[in-house]
Amino acid sequence: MNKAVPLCTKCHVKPSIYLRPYSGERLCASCFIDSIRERVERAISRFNMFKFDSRIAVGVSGGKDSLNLLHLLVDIEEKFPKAEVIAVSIDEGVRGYREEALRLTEETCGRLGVESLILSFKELFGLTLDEIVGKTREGELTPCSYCGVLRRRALNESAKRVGADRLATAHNLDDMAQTALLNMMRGDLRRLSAMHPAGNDLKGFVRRVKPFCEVPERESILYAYLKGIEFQGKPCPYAEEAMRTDIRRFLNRMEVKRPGTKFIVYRTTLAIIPTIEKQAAEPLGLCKICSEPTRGDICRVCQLMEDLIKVG
Amino acid sequence: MVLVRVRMLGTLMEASAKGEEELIFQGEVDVTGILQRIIDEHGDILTELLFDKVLQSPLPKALILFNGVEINNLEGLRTTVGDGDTLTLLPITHGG
Repeated sequence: MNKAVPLCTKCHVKPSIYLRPYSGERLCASCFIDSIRERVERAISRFNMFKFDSRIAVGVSGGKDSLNLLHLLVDIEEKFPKAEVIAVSIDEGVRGYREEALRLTEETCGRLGVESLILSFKELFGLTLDEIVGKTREGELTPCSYCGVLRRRALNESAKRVGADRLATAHNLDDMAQTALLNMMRGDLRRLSAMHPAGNDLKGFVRRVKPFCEVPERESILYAYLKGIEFQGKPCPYAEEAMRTDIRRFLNRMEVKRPGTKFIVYRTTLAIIPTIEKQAAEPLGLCKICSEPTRGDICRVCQLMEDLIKVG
Repeated sequence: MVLVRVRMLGTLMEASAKGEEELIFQGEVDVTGILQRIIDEHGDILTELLFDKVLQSPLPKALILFNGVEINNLEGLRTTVGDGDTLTLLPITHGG
C-alpha cells in the first residue's frame, strides 16, 4: 500500500523516510545519511578533536556505533591525506559473545583497508572477563565495574602501541546523556567534568575524543541499516549496570514524551563543565604499582587486580 | 485477506528464531495489531524486547519501518498496513 509521504525538508525532492521528533525535520534516506556525517564533522570541528595530521586510534567493539564511526572517519580522513585511522579493539574474553564482534571488525577493517590491533584482557591483566566474573561474589562489584576500568586502560594502551595521538570512541548522544545524569546522581563532579567530548591532554593518556557524541542511538541504528553496515546486534551477556539501566529507561521514556530531552541534558552538561572543572581538578600522580597516571597512590586497575588476587 | 511481511532484525531475529514472517489478517490492520499478533505468537521474550512497560509502547525500544519509512513519519502505531506491505523491526540495542 503506497502512502502519501511528505517530501524531505532538506532537499525538497525525494520522499522523506524519517521524522526527527526533536527538530521537526523530515529527511529522505540520502539527506539523513548526509546529516549524520555533517553532525560528526561539526563535532570534530567545534571541539577541535583532531589535527590535520593526527594518527587516530578508533576504539571498535563491532557494535553499530563504533563501526559507523569507523566508516565515517575513514571517509572524512580522505580529505586529510596526512591523517591516519587505525582500528583498536579489546577482547575482554567473553565466550560466545566477543568472537562475532571481532570477526565483524576484522572484516570491516579489511574492506576499508584500515590497519587494526586487538589487545586482550588476558594478555594485559592475566585474566579474561569470564575468569574475573568467576572470582567475584554476589553483592560485590558488577562485571561492568571491572570491564569499564580495564577497558579504558586497555584502549589507552592500544592507542599508545599504535603510536596514536588521539583515541576516538563511539559514545553516542544517549551514552553522553546517561553518563551526565549518572555522575550527577552519584555527585561525582570529577567524572562529570571529564566526560567532555573534546577530551583532555593528561600526561600518560592519549587524548580521548567522542566524535559521535551528538548522534542519538536510534539514528545510529538507522544509519547502519541504511548504509548496510553489518554489526553485532546482541548486547554483552554481562551488560546490566543497574543504575545506568534505570537512567537509560527513564531517558528513553522522556525522549518519547518530550523529544529533545537527551540533547538538553547533554548541552546543559557541556555548559556547566567549565564551572565545575576547577572545583573537580585534583593533581595527577603515578601509580605506585604500575606507574600509570592516577589521582591516588594506587590506580583503580591495580586496586581491582589486587582484590582479585586476594580472592585466589 | 491481507498478507503482511514482518522482518525482525538484531536481537528480535534471535529471539523469534526467524528473520522474517508472513502474517495473514482478515482485513486491514494497523501497526499495533501486527505487533500484538507477533507477541501472541512468540510470548514474553518479544514483549520484553519490544515493549516499554511504563509507556506500554514499542517506541522507546524499536525503530519500526513501514515499507522503508519510519512509522513516526506516517501515523505512528496507527499506520494502516495493507496487502503486500513490509514492516521492519529494528531493536535499539545499547552498546556499540
